[in-house]
Amino acid sequence: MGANTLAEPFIEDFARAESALRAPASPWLHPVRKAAVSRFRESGFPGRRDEEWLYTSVARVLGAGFRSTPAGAPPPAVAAGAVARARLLGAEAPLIVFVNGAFRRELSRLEALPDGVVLESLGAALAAGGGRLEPRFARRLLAEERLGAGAPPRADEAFAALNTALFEDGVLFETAPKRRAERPVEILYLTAGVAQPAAIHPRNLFVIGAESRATLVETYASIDAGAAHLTNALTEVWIEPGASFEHYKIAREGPAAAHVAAQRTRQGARSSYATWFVALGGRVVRNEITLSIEGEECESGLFGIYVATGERHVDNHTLIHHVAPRCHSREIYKGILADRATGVFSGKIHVHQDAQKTDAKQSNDNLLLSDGATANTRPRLEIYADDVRCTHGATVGQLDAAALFYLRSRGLSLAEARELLTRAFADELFLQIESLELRARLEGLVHASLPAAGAP
Amino acid sequence: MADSNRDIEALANREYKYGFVTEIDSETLPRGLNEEIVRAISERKTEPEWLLEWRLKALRHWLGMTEPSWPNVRHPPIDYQDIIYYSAPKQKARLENLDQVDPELLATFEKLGISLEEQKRLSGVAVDAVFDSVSVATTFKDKLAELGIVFCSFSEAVQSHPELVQRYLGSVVPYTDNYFASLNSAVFSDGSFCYIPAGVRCPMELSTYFRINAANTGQFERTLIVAEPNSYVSYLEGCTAPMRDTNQLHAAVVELVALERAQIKYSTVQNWYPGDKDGKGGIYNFVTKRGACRGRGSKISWTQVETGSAITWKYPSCILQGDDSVGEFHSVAVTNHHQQADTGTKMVHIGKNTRSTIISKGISAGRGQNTYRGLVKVQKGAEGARNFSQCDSLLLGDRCGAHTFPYIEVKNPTAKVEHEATTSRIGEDQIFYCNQRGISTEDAVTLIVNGFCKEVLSELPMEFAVEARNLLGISLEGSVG
Repeated sequence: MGANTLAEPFIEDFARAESALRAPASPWLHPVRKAAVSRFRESGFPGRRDEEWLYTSVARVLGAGFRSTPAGAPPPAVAAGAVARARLLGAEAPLIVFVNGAFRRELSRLEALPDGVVLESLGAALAAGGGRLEPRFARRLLAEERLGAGAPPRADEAFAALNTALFEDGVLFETAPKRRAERPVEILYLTAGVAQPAAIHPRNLFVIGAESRATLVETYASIDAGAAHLTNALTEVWIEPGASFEHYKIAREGPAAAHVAAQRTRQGARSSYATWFVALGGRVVRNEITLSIEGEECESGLFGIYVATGERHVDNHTLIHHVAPRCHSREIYKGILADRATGVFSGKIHVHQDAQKTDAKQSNDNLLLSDGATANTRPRLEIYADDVRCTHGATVGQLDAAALFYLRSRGLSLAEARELLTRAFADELFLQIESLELRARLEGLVHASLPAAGAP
Repeated sequence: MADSNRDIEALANREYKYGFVTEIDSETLPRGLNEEIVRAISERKTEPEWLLEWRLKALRHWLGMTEPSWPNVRHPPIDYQDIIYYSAPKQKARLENLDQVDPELLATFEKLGISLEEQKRLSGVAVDAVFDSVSVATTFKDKLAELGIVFCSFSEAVQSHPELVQRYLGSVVPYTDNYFASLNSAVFSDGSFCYIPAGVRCPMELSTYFRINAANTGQFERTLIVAEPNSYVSYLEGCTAPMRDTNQLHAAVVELVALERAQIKYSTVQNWYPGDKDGKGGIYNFVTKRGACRGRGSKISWTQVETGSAITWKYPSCILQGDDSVGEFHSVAVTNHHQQADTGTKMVHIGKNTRSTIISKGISAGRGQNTYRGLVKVQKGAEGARNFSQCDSLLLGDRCGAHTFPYIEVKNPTAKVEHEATTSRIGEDQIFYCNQRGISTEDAVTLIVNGFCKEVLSELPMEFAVEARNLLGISLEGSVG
């Protein structure tokens, strides 16, 4: 199936939904959607030889094909218990819930929001007149502008363009300047009662006001494990000067789900940002993070852990643009791969000419637990400034035989020893989480997803 | 380090030391590339039918290909129909000794510092000098022949050992391999051929000296080295080229075949004309180099010092087929002024317990762009494969760039693959320390750069190591303020 045959249904989806997608109160939005669809039509999906999609085939992502659900379909019933099970945080934390891409107020818990914090449906905000959102919406990153605006549409941005064209709803999260939100908030994207392979395009906009502080947990999960669906999410994050933002994203959809997501973040001066990606489910997962560090003296952390078993495929794609001087970024991604799973890490640090005194560290470690597992890793540095310190490292290996032997000599069974060492491999990463409660919950979630230990 | 008080300004603006043109009549084919040209090249070299067929297949394949765009380099489009694909210095008769060589040619070698007599008498290095595209003199042949070693120009090998050439030509780099390899397969004019019989340890370092001469002539060498079981050979290659304003294309192919427990050590010092300080002129060096470790315990080691060329695009690779075979890659790449380099290696682990080591040192100065691009691939059956890669970059100046693009693909859980890379510049504290001990800033930089590259330079054979150290100093002249 050629890339263009794959693209056609999405263009049809847009033609069919075009009038329903109009938001009369936000007249600026429709031209943005039209432009996105024409970019997508021109570029098509990335082919096999696209450097940015080298290890993930779009045909595999799309499988038998996914279609948008026509508007007006009755919302599926979701039990409160199912929502509680999908949550990472405790019941008291503010929560916003989407089912099959549509906002569900009755399942959400928005009354507990502190002052100065907005957590609401982006679709509703745009319908109510989102003029103030326009300057924040579908904007190019400063780094991209510097590299040349007006470039022809790129195939590796096809999914992002599709999201802009087709999104119906998502989250608007805003914190007012100087607002220190101590308690984390939670977003749940659930899929339920999907009869035929459905494409869902969630769209998020997070604006962290100057000198404010926020923590957000975002989970993607399927309620019916066997259902085939495509999540194509796009998240834009603005971190204003002096702000601090911690973001945790967990993808644990069912074994038939495909998950493609792009996250674009701009960081203003003296801000701090930590973003986590935890991939535990889904048939094919591709998560892209583009971070543009646009103000001086920022701290940034990109952390990821991916656990894959069976035939699953997880592709982590990160790009950090150091545009401003005196910033510090570190990136740690760890993969645990078993059975016939494939893990991909492709991370690039691009240090622009004026970004002197940049300190960037990147590492990717992979643990292969079975014969059929594959790890592809591509840590890249592109550096145009001289007064910088950049390092990257990548490893692929298996559990250390000497360590296993040591543990067994101390009376642990082989299975116990393997499990202990696998946990230890992931442990370094969790130490990066300051909140002990969050650390424990996330650790529990990852440990529960580890492949059953036993003889290889 | 000896002449310490050099005038930096003067050095920075100095013209390319080896830039001169030798006036010799060249027997030249018309510009352009088509079947007729390929037939003409083949005819002139009185090649057997199978080789012409092979060239034509390569040409037909090449015509259907497009030039790759993935390398991280920029250059104006190349007009492949505006290149002269064959030019040979006129030869009056078959040469048996140096007296018969055109005196002008000899004078050129003199200027390059490789007087053949000197080489022959003093250094113990056998030199197969390629002047433009045809070998004009070969030394030490008799001595090597006693051991059964064949070391001659490629065209000569086609005539004298056609069965060996036919068996191995294209077996490591097929004519379909990539754009420039296909082009080379169609039009290659000459190169070197080397065959080491089983159990023979080649007693001397073999070397060739390439040089591009006639204006607007692309040079397309083909090198083939075959090492039979339990043999050993160390092969050196070094280049300088005269000054030119229009860019010259250089698309060579090197194939190495190491059989059971054979070892091939291939060293390169590359100093083609890099263009002037404004980036005008210079050689495009688009080379395909690959070695196959075909037997148990065979070993191929690549060492390169790349200081020249406007653009360097090459990835000396090892296919580790045999169990316990070893691949090594040691590289220093320097880019100054407007030079661009996209270089690295591929290590493909197929056999069990195969090992590879990659040490790459990139130095960028001026507006130079230096990219390391490497692939480490561990295939399913490669039990116990082991790789260690280290790529360090040093930046001198705020308008240059250093890039690292490693690709690691592992399909076997027993494999152990490590990659690490750092990018930094020379610390002011380091310079200060040297200054304070009475070492000038420029000497301090040379000292630190040489230290930075030590791991690679120490892999070079003695004669080359000295030359390479000087070359590093010369290449970086004017980059320190």
